[in-house]
Amino acid sequence: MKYKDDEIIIEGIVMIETPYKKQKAHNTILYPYLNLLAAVNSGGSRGNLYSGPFNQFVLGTDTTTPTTAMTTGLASPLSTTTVGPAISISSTTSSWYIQYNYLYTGSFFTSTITIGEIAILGVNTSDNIQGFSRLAVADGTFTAVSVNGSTPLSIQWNVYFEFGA
Amino acid sequence: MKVKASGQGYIEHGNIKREFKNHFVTGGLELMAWLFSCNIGPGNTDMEYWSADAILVGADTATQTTFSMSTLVSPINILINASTLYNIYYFNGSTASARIISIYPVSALPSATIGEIGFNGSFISYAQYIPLNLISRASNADGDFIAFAYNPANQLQITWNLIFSWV
Repeated sequence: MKYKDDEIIIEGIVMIETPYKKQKAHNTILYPYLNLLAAVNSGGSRGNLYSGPFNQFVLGTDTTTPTTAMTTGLASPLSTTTVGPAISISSTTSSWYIQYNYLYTGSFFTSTITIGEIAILGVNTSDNIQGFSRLAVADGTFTAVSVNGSTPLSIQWNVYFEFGA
Repeated sequence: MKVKASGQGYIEHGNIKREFKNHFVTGGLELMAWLFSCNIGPGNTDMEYWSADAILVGADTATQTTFSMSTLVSPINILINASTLYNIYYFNGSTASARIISIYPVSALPSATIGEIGFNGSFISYAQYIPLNLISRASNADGDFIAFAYNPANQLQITWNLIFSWV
């Protein structure tokens, strides 16, 4: 396959799985990440690249708010203490693509919750934590998932950075 | 929605005007991935970054861009302070853009044929200095612009636009 080096494509594909249903969806990369790319590439930008809890999933319950050009996170996020431990992250690299694999799995909920939106968080040039990528029922990309303490939830979020095909 | 990154710009030198589009190399791919992940970068530690840019010029006219290039093939002057940089970034609701203008004043470079130009970026962190790396390149060999003779009597201005848009 011949790759086009005049463009780089960034996309995310998400697998959401419970014992009852398996869904595959495409995410929307959010404005804060685009702005970070432009800010850093124009030079003179300063900020922090954190490790630990800042680059993780956040789950939310909203099912009616679409993602727009100015969306910076979730409409109704659950607190991170509600949804359990941080995700695991691994990466695969070659000369023409980099793939991040974000994996969230477990049964952390004490009551029944409807998950209608999911985001990956990042850090912008002002050290603020914002959404870099969102998946939302309101965008028509997946069907809301109902989970509780006995329902394992697995989310595998693959983010690809690759030269255009 | 996906995001597409692309780059283009123009060169002005006396009566010479050249438009070009760029070719990304692996360094550009790595930078974008690193910024997204926050913590899978080199060293895998908490880091403060300070981004620095430079537009460098080179004399090569025959070598096409490859993914693995990390420098220009025949750089004419690798001093990042040889030119004055102006930069701006903005978001218009659908596209985020970084515009970098590099001006080499009169006599900043020796007489030469300019056949390649490179957009370079770097990070400086607590833990390590990540040297100036090639992000993207435009060249005569790729057909991006026609090589031209640099005349020290004229300033050289290169404007480079990196564009990040939803597709």
